Amino acid sequence: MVTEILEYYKSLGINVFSLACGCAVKVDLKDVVYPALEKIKPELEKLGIILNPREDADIFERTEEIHVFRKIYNLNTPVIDDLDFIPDRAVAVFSVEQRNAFDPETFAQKLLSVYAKLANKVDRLIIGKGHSIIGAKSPEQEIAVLDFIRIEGKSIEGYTLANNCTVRILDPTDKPGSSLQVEAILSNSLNDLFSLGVTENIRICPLFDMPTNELLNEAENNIGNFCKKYNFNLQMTRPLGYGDIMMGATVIGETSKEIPAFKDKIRKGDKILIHRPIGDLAPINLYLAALIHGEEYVNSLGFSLKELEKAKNMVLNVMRKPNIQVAKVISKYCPEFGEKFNDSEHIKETTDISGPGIYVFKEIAEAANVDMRIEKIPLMNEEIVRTTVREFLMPNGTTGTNGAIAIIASEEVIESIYHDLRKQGYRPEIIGTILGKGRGRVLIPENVRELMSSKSLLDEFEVIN
Amino acid sequence: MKVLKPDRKLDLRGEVCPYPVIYTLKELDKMKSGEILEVITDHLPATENVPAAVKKKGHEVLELSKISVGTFRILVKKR
Repeated sequence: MVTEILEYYKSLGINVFSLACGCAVKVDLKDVVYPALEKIKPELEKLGIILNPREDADIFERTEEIHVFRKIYNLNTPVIDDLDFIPDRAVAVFSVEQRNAFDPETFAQKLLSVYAKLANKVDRLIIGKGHSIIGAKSPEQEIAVLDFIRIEGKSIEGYTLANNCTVRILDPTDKPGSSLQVEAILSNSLNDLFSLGVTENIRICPLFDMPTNELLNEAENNIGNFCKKYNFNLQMTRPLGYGDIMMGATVIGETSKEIPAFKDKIRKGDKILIHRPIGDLAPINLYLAALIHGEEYVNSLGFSLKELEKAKNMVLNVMRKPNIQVAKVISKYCPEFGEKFNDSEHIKETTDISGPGIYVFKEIAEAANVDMRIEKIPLMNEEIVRTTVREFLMPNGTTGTNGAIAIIASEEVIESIYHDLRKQGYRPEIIGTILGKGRGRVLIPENVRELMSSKSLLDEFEVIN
Repeated sequence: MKVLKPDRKLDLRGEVCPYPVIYTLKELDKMKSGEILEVITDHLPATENVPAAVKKKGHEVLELSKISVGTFRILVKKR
């Protein structure tokens, strides 16, 4: 079966092993995207383009109606026509060549090429969320996909949230538009909404491309089936039309609650919970290494190919399920709209652990000005994560796709959430404690050295014995 | 300074983790002891992972240099 799939990709002229699995396809946030955004922000603000601060999703007023329309611009020769209607905001996906994803200056020019021209067509536009990927193989394929949003009608209590995310492929041993890949990748797009407790009026605007009509049809069918299965609204969009492999979506949802974003309330003694073990991408990466190197290689590492295939399928089956029940639990512990935060009832902060793995805890600690201690790092398959890192196949073995969601709250709230999640069939774990106000230190157990090979990442933590 | 001439070249531009490590080790498997492999990569984590992985297998990293913006050359001598 695997051989057949690999031959199938070959027949399409695609080296499937060159397609990054999971989130490795993202432009580096810390060293490229954020410095580039800081650089162009003041210039764009003068032109009326406002880049929102980095958040897991764009959060805005909830109204009776919301309209979304998509425009695709080439980054090297952008032609910006008049827009069909005046948008209030937009979420953007930028796809660039690897050589342009390296330094902030080059990348900033790519963003500017579209935003500066767009400024001629709108008086004021908020870019609520951006997502940047290394997905282009030529200048013609370097594009910006902008989903413009217009809100209309009366205000409704609550918030609307929008997010976008794309992945090229998750499992190269499966067809790119298969139900498993579609479900896992769309669930990944939704995860930032779910981590904020958003579950109402979920709308999916797919962002996808495939090299053949057969694959496009299969992908479209599976997108439709996924939306039907979970009762999500589908706003079907045309494929990008570049004949490449890409899957993802802009997703929109609503909540009638406050958003669990109370970093300033995080205090000494608060607990950190994750809704399930992490390290999802390691089994996929080790399985791929096994396919390329041969079974002898994985045998020498103490695994059989069958064992790795089973581990890979197990994580993919977890990934393909949207974390909607986790979102419902999170929503239960959020204040009603307009209600004040209460330490003994509400969640203080949540985040999706997917892409950055445990580095998310460093980001939270710094943003909240607290120090924290992570006491354990539960993994889906610890032996496979350690081997993948030891073989330098992944610099960070704790990353995932449609990953675990982390929740910070007072001890009593965390205990209650823990039991709610257990009832839903998850495997939550309380993994750490807030030590108090501080400079963003994250103390972490020594075994982290076996879960990350990147020195620059390890340097962000204080390893304790 | 002596210019090192590679016996084999591996252009891994466009490849991201885990492939730079996998392909480098696979290529080294095909080579004779003492031969030099040149690896070109534009994936920054590979400049950390590839040298670490080949050293672990006992090979020698002779050079890690930037050849243009965002592109690196790694020279490895097979053990």
